[in-house]
Amino acid sequence: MSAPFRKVLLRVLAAELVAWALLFALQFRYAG
Amino acid sequence: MHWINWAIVLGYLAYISIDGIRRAKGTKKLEGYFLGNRSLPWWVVGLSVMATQLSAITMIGTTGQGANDGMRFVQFYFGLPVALVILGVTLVPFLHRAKVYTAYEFLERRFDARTRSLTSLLFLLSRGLSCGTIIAAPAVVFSSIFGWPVIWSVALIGVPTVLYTMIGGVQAVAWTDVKQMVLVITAIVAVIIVLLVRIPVGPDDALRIAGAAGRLDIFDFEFTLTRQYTFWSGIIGGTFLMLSYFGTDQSQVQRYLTAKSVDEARSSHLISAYWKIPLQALVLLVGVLVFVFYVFTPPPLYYNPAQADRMRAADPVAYAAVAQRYDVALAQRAEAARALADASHAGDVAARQALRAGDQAVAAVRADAMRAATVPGAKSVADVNYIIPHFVLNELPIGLTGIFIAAVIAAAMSAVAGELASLSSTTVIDLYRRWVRPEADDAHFLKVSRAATGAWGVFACVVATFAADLGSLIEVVNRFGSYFYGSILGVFLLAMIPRTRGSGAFYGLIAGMAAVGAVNFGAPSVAFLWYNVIGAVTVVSVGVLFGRTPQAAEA
Repeated sequence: MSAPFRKVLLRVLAAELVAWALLFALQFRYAG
Repeated sequence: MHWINWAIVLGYLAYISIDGIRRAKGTKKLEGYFLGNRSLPWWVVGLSVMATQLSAITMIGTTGQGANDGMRFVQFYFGLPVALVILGVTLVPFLHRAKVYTAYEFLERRFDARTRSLTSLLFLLSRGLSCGTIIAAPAVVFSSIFGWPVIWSVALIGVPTVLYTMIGGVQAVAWTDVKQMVLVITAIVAVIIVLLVRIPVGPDDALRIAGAAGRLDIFDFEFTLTRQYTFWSGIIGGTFLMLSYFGTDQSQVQRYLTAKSVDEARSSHLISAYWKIPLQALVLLVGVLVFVFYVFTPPPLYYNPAQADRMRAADPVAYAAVAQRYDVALAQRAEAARALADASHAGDVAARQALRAGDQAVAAVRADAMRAATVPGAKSVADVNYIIPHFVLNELPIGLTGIFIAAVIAAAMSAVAGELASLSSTTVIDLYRRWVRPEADDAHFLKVSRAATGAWGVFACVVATFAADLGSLIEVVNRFGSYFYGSILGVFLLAMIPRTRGSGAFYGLIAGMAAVGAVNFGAPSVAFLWYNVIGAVTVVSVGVLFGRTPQAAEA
């Protein structure tokens, strides 16, 4: 795996994790 | 609808048509017409990619789904970011450096002409009809709410789109997509703001009401092959679907082939990788907030006005009885919602249960009403698709209604334009230039390409006009389309494996489609997202086996 690809992959995965965390927080707080 | 709203819609249509047609200046050659001279900036390509995926069905159907079923549909997109990164290091550089016009052209270079022709024919069959349904969905809704013939709505969306795509080519498609995307996002954000202002409780209480009614049950971690939207079907099946869609579907491949360089093509995909899930969540949130709005403002029994009129005229007594039951259920649900808003966060368990029971009672009356309205064999569009149009026409302020309707039309136009450009390029490059007139000059192909775009546009409009009558046929074709989506991905994956050869790809493709067909008939409860995994894995397995035959080893 090349270094630039690893960097992009990590950034995208981090963004996806943030999106999941926000959606999960929404569900956890309001849907019970 | 108020004349100011109509003025906004017509003004938008005139502006986008003129803007698209003037892009014809840069399309003197085939490369300009189909690939924008491979010179478009990454952000234009990226927004165009997003706009092509976002159709009127997203604006009307997905928001309606948010109101009815909540936000669980967002799981469908969970595989998208990873798929786009994988494509960024595999197919995107492969295809961009190959200097091809279509994805299928690459398959002849790697395998043989029959694999190329079969995949391009499968694409044309599926996309040609789906292009019609993209126009049909909003056209049927507009016809019902405005009370005009379907053909008028089809013409309103189809004629300007076909005109600017035919004349301006892919440059017109990409640049108009950017404007359409801006309009769509503006409309979504504006509607959310209006909803937050109009809902009589604060945003926190509105979300508590939505949550108690099950509209914020987003994640489903159960591993099952039979449920459509789960975390795992989104991550695994969704990744295969998105790899197939973005990597092998000409409507998407054509977009990134217009980018200046491989890096710009990759960057264009990152816009979707970062923003598709938030955008889709926002679209669903519109639906969720519309649901909360209608908890406090009594909604109609049927959101489709034509359906309501038909039912009222058919049996006024029965209609009045159901309407009365509905009013009682709505009043109880509203009361439960107010009680929940007044309760503290810690002590709201009973209030949440009361609201959920109230919402289930409303849903039960609506289900009875929908059953009564179902006439076997009659034309119908799910009532869920009328929730947002009803809200937009009756609750939004003058001006914003026009902007939202224009955004729905824009979403349909951008999706249709992208499809038309890809249908035309596949027809001309993979079939006409390959099999009919390989020796003709560029000017001839440009002329034929414009004619092909126009012909596919007319075909799409005809399909859209008769879509309701063709219902079962279109369903068959859509189902057939899902058979080969994963299988086509399998062929492209095979292309990147050394020693595999044409016969492996060709028979692998047939085996992949047969495997998905067998699962569809043998185990119909398997959710369609898994078809992509089954198709791709079968093609690669069969293809690799063929690649290991003695002849292949010698080759």
